Amino acid sequence: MSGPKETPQGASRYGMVIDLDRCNGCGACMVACAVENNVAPAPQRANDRNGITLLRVFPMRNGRDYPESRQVFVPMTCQQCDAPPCESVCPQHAVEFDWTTGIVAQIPVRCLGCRYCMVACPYHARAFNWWDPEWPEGMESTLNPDISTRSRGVAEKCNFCHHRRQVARERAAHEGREVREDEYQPACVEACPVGAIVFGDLNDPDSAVAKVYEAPDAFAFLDKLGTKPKIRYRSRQEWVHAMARQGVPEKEVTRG
Amino acid sequence: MKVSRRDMLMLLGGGAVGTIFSPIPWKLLRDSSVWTQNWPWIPVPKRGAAATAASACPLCPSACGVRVRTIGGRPVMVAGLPDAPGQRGALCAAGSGVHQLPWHPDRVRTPLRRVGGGSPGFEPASLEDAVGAIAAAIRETQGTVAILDGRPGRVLGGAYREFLSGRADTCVLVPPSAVRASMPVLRKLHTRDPGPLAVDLDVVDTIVGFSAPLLDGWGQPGLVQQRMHEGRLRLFQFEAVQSRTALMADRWIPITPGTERAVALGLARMLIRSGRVSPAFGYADFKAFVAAYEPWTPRRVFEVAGVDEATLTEVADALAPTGRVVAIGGGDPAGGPLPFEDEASIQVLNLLLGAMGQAVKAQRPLADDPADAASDRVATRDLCDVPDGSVGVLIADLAMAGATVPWPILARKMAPQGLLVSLTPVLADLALHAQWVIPTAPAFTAAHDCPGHPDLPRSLRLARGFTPAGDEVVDPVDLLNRLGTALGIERQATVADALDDMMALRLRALHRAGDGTVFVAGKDPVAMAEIDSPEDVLSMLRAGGCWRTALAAAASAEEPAVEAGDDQTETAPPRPAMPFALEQVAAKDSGGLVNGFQMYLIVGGGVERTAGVARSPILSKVDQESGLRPFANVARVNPATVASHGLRPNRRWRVSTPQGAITMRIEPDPTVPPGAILAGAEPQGALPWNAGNPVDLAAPDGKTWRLLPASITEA
Repeated sequence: MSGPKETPQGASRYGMVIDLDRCNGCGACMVACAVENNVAPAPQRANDRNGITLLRVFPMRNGRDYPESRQVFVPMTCQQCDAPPCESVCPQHAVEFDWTTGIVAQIPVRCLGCRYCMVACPYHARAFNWWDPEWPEGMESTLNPDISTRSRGVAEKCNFCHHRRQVARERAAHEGREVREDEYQPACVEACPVGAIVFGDLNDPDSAVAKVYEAPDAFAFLDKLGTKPKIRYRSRQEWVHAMARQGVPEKEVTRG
Repeated sequence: MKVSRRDMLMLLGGGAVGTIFSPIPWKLLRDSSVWTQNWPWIPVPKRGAAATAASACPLCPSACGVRVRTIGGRPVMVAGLPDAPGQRGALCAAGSGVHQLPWHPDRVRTPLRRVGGGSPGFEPASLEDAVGAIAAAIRETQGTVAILDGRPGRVLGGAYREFLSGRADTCVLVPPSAVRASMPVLRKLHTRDPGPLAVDLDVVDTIVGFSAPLLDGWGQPGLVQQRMHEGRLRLFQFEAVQSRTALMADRWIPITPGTERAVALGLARMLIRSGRVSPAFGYADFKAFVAAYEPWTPRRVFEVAGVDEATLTEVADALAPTGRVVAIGGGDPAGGPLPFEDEASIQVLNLLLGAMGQAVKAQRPLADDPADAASDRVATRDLCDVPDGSVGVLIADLAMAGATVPWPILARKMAPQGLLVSLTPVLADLALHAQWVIPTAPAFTAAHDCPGHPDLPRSLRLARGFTPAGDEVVDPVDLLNRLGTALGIERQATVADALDDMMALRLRALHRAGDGTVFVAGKDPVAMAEIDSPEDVLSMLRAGGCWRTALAAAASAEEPAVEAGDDQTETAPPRPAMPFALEQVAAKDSGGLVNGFQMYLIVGGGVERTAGVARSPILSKVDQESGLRPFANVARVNPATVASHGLRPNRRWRVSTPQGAITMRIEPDPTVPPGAILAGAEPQGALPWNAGNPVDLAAPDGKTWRLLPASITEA
């Protein structure tokens, strides 16, 4: 297993903090993620278990009945673990921990489709292409050229819109400067209408994300497993923290 | 050397074992995975020059500014426009997929004529045939000729009225949500028309929401929520379901479904009795006014709405008549508006709290606006107020409405042999019931003017066309011209042959008036009076700019919004302060359940579920796979109700209203009140997930469909 100890000096370590008290479950992040990453519209058979939704928003409820019931919406995606269980089980090295960014990269062309990674991921954050991607006629022209389309038979997941980092780096290199924090933001961060998602380099103490990453109300899901996720959540509600220690909200299902 | 059979087997065995430990199998696996992922039918994204353009989202009256990333001129991504006024970079899920709508699977590519009887079968036809048939129907009908304008405020509205003004017995119809929004109803509570009113969100520090979709389609959801997080806005939300707005509110007060009116009346009574009424509030007969509210004691409110006295008192105590408090109703864009009586009861709170002139301001009328053309000659009416069976020919334009119109209500208004013509880019919703379907331009294929929400200051953005619309698309203005020619009607005032020309005329009128300000992201706002020419205005709006009217300074100071009794002179005949009989509303109890239907069906869904034309395939996919906003085939029911009614989630259930039934599966949801069924509206179309639309379970004679008597039986 790789981890931060092997991170080269001067490298970035990208992370994210999602404020659950701000998220209102509008779903704009899900749509933006799918559009950005060339995810195809769903076949008729697709459902919550077998569809490709790299970022999925779950309702998480406090377990009480109306009118004491309360809920928060949890955007759940790859947690970008520092100790990613999906990496060690991949027989094809299709999952790679990028030491220079801390991003757990998924390389579709290497993927054999065994789905061991999906079994290993405790966050159910991975999806499997059960069908070849199909777009309504003409809609292929709206595909993002920075991302290749994936075929049937490979697993995939969020990679913090890594291609956006490449674009930002190229632009910055062309202009002879460092990448600014606001230049590299994943699509979900950009789309969130209420600014509930903060993203940036955790190794940069001046970054917005570093300032809230260790906030008193910040927590990680399933912290006890030791996967060391780089996505943390915030909430001032104690029941949310208690639920987060138990597991992934609402739907204890394994996709695929 | 003789090679034995044993040697041969050892060689083969050793070779096999050695191969396993060599890179060869892994190389083969890797290569095969690569080879099997490159097929000619997997699309390869096209490359091209990258650019960014600003535009507007035309899908609903929020009219958000958008930043569009293009590759070779083709839009590939849409995000909110940072620094846009009243929006702050926010964009909803529907807007994030707006660029995919030109390739909607249900896109209409040619005029369609209905064939056969009940089943929705269509055959392609020519535009000439369509014009001939519609003109003949207009010529022959004995009923009203009407145009249903789903998005009032566009220049198209002026073109529609001009066309209709050439004939007697005509009217423009609008969806109930457009005329029963909060501010239009507040306007009707005045003796003397104060003109169009608008909520000034920059002034408001407290909102009392009555099931108001403040974060789901009302006005500027991004602005509301961000002001809340900045601590500049408090929100008290009275609502039966824990909606997204209720979830984010500073205080969510659950109420019995359909009792917003009772809560508003009880709250008003409390304010009156405690003396927390604005000094600016006047009423011709204040005693009668107070007496009307007297029956709405806290106990009665508790019995009807389930809100106890302590909670009501807490909210009332938090409201001060500072003028910075505003009460909003409105209703869900898909689930329909509140009944007029409910909205009026809520708006009285704004009068009591002194919102007029401060949180609510009058807007200056715009002279010579092509959008208002012929408004003195052709009436504009709430669809629900039209007599049943009276409409002989109806041309329905609900393309970018952002509001729902249930088919049963519309069907009831049509004459027995009436002709329904649908102007739509997508064969869905009401178009499935039309005799003629005329293809119009989808979003992002042609320029659209995007007026703002009826509760907010009048504003205008322009949505650009990024993708060629196609030769089959019909400009509605051109269609009206052809119809006019066939009928011998000459259009008068605006004299424009195409939508683009009409928009240019509108910009000229705006520039001439010199009213308001144009905001362009990243630049300083510019007063309209300081802009040199209409062409400059056009270029600013094309660059993603937003024109917003100037709000009149304190309307109550210039002209009392509500006349007090002592204001009435001898020359003016005595008249009630409010044309609307509040006493009757106060005396009217909230509606009860219908015999045999012991539950409520609450229809919601937000602005994304108002029409198929607003749903990109990727938005449908996300809904289909995430379950975040379930489709119409899912009924959310309180777990206690699930248990008491024996509703097993793994079976199919039939949800019935007096109007009909659709089959759903049950999903326990503790945020839904016991005894209620929560279902999302579902714009009907040809896509496989279209199972049925709860909106179509509305009563044909009803004026709202947000709450329907219902029952559940096993399918």
